[in-house]
Amino acid sequence: MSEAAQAIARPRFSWREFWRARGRDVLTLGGFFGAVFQREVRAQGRRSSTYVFRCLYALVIGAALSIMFAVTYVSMRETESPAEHVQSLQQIAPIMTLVIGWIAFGGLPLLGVIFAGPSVSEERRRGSLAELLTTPLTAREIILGKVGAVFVQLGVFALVPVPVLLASRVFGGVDLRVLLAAGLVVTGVSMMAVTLTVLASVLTRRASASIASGIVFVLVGTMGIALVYSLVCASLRINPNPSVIAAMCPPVVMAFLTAELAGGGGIPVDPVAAAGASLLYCAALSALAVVLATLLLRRLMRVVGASGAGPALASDKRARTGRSPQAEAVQAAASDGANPNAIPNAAESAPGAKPRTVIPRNDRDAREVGDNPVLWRETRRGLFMRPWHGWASAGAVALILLWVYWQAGLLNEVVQFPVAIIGTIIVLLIAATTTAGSISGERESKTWPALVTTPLSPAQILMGKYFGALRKQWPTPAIITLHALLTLLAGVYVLTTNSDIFGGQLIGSSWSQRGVPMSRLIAMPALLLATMIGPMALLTATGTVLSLTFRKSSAATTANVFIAIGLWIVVPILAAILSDTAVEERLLGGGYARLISDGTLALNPVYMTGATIDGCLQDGRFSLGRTSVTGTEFMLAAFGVLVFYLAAAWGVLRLGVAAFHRFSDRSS
Amino acid sequence: MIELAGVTKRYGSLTALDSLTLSIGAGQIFGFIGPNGAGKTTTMKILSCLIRPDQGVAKVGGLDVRKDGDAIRRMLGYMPDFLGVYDDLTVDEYLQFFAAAFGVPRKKRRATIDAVLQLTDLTEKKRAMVDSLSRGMQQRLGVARVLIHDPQVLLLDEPASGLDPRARIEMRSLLQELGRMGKVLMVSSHILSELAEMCTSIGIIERGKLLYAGSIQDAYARSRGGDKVIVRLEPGAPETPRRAREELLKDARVSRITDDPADPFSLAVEMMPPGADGSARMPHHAVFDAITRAGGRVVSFEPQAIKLEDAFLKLTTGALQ
Repeated sequence: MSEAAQAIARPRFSWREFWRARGRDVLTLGGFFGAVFQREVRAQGRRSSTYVFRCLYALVIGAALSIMFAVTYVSMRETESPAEHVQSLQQIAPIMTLVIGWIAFGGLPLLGVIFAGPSVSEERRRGSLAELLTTPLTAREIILGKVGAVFVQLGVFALVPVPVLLASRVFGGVDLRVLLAAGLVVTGVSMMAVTLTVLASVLTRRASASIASGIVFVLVGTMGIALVYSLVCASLRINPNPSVIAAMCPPVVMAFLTAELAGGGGIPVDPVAAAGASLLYCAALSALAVVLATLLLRRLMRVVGASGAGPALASDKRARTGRSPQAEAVQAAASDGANPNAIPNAAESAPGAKPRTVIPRNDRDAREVGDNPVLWRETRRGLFMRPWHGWASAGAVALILLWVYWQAGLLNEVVQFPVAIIGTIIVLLIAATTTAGSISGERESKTWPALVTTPLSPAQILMGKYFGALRKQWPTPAIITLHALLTLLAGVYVLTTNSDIFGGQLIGSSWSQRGVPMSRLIAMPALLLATMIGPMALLTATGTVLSLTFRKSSAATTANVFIAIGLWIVVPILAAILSDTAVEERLLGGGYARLISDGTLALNPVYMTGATIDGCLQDGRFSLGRTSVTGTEFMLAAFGVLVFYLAAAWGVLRLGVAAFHRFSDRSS
Repeated sequence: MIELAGVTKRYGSLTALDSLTLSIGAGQIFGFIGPNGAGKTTTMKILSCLIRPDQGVAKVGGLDVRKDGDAIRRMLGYMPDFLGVYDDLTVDEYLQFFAAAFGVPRKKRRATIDAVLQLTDLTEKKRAMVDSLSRGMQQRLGVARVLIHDPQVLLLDEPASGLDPRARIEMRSLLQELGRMGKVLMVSSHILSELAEMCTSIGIIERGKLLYAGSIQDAYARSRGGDKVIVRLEPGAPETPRRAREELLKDARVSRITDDPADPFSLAVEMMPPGADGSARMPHHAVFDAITRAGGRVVSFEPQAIKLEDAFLKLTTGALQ
């Protein structure tokens, strides 16, 4: 072929065309309603869980409205005049709007995370991602199809409370602007939750991990970035712009809207404008997540395609073992009957080259297995996919904490609250999401039949899984305890020398100057640990048992997340309503209001963490709901709650052992 | 050793097993054959105490699967059709894990593991990570796992699926070796020729019903129609095949003659089976004689041997569950 003919056959490479094609590929919305979207929507329609969730959502809204009406009814019974009755009923409309708004604000993003969590990770696990490679579908079309299908699903959920909201608008006179603004915020957060979770699903191998990562991403997106902005402003000694904070923190916009609806003043920004800005922020973050997910999926598809081996093989194995393609070639050749120790590399295969012995990097000396093999394996599994992930995470956490200490001061109680409370929430989140895949994960990876056909007892299997899951959670409590110990040490140092650490940045005035005794500083780490360990033990137990009862780890994780939400969000709300004197008097005859509210709060780990920090670093009086108690009493309460949670965890595990034969696939 | 009496299992409206009755004695290698969804895996899962039968009695070593799960698990090794492995362990750790799970004493574990590794030809791979093994090696590791506690009964569901020809031959010789060791093997496979070479008896199941259980020879005899021979005539006059066909059909023991469209001088002669009334099978030399009478000369004469595939096709209807 002549040079001219070659030039015609091979078009000239153009960077402009290259980037235009990439941009078109990544940014256009074509394929939103393509084959993946249609398959996902059809599959959703066939899943019973879809209808279960819809019923649950409708039930939650119905229950909340019923409780509101019940409370209003009880209040009405105390008044005599019909005018007051009418007034009471009219007051329901804004409250009803608020309640529905907050339920949608919390529920729709959570459902989005649950639905989007398995989207790509399940495809990898089933091996159907490799099948998609054989079609002309692009990564963008796959991601957009997945995202679109979850949007449709959430759209159906969003329609559930519309009749009630319309009624509140027509009969209660609720401001339409506020309604629309709340809708914008909920839409934005839901969109962000779905797209960020799809991104998490591309990054992780298991649906439960995708859900956990999705929740963390959403928390970072809705609060973390605003927090970083505030800290940066604080470090630069400038006042943060409330409009910017509101835009980057949708819960703040919801709070503003709540205040607006309640008729309260003092809102620093226009809540409707803030809702619009919040939607723009969420849309920008969502677009970024879609682009990132597309690029990562494209890379993943290339790796899976290059392996030519189907289900989640090459990339996942390499990710776990860190093996190079060359080492895999050694293994492949060895599997064909060749001696793996005599595979020459490309250079050495040249004539005359000396063969070099290659030892596969993944060959390891065997460890001695204990007599309880399940426990042995679970306690020896790595916390992170690769060792450097652990070091990188530890380094990142240490840097963040040091920066916070440097900016605000270790001995500043304002620092103690967010660190301890965020830590407690992370502990609960990890316990709720990562523990529910222990047995269902075995089912998904087809190792379960081999395990249940051994004579291992139900208790050996369940306890092994339980303690293994518990062990994996040690880093967060350890960080919080270390933080509390650093607080103690810094306090001791200041008490001893009365001088500053880190050039005056680390501390303000010393604990001694503020009248904080050593005993309370010593008690703080113990109380924080006690507060975290109990709920962690219970959620790990429920997660382990749910992973036995549910066949899919995503379903087990969802159920465990709902247990956590029920225990520590729904129950306190119900208790608050019930402990309202009028309701409690009507229903229980009076005298139990304080017990209900104090007992519920004592069982709430987030509240107890706050009370611990407050009591230890302030005046030594600890609040248990409406009751103020001494340090000794609080410690007794905290450790009593710990014992309660440990007993509950034990009870859940015993139930799991008793129900093992029913759910484990063993017939006898 | 294995007894199933009237075992029925239903999944909703689908009857996976319909009054299955089967008995496998000690020292047998039993091949379990059936189309996909016929109920083979369900039967194996019932025997390995993974599924509870709705009706009937299933016993392993005289122990009831409904009551004596623990004891059965100690005497039985089950290898499922889709084998999952713990990818975070080495081959040696994987076997140690299951040795501990089966309660093999610590002092004996090393020797036991070395023995099964040698038997399954995996000794060189004992330090390799499980997920780095090829499919064939993982299958062999699966066999090693089920042998770790020296069970008397082995249930192997499609042990050769996905294996290349070499690995399949190795797997077959391994199973034959286990049979020689006196273990009871129940093996399901779609590769019928392999089962024919390896098994002492077979069972054919379709839509949950056992169509046949017994020796392979008996299965051949039952499914056998008449003999079939492929005869190739010397090319010559075009009317020779027609004359040969007419001459052959004069004999009432010839049931059918089919032509080979690609070769006009080739005839497939099917003979009637021996009659229930005592009539004899047509001898092969009678075919020769008839062709000679018709003026034809035989170039090749190829009797068709019946295969397990033929028996399977004749005994099953090919209906899907």
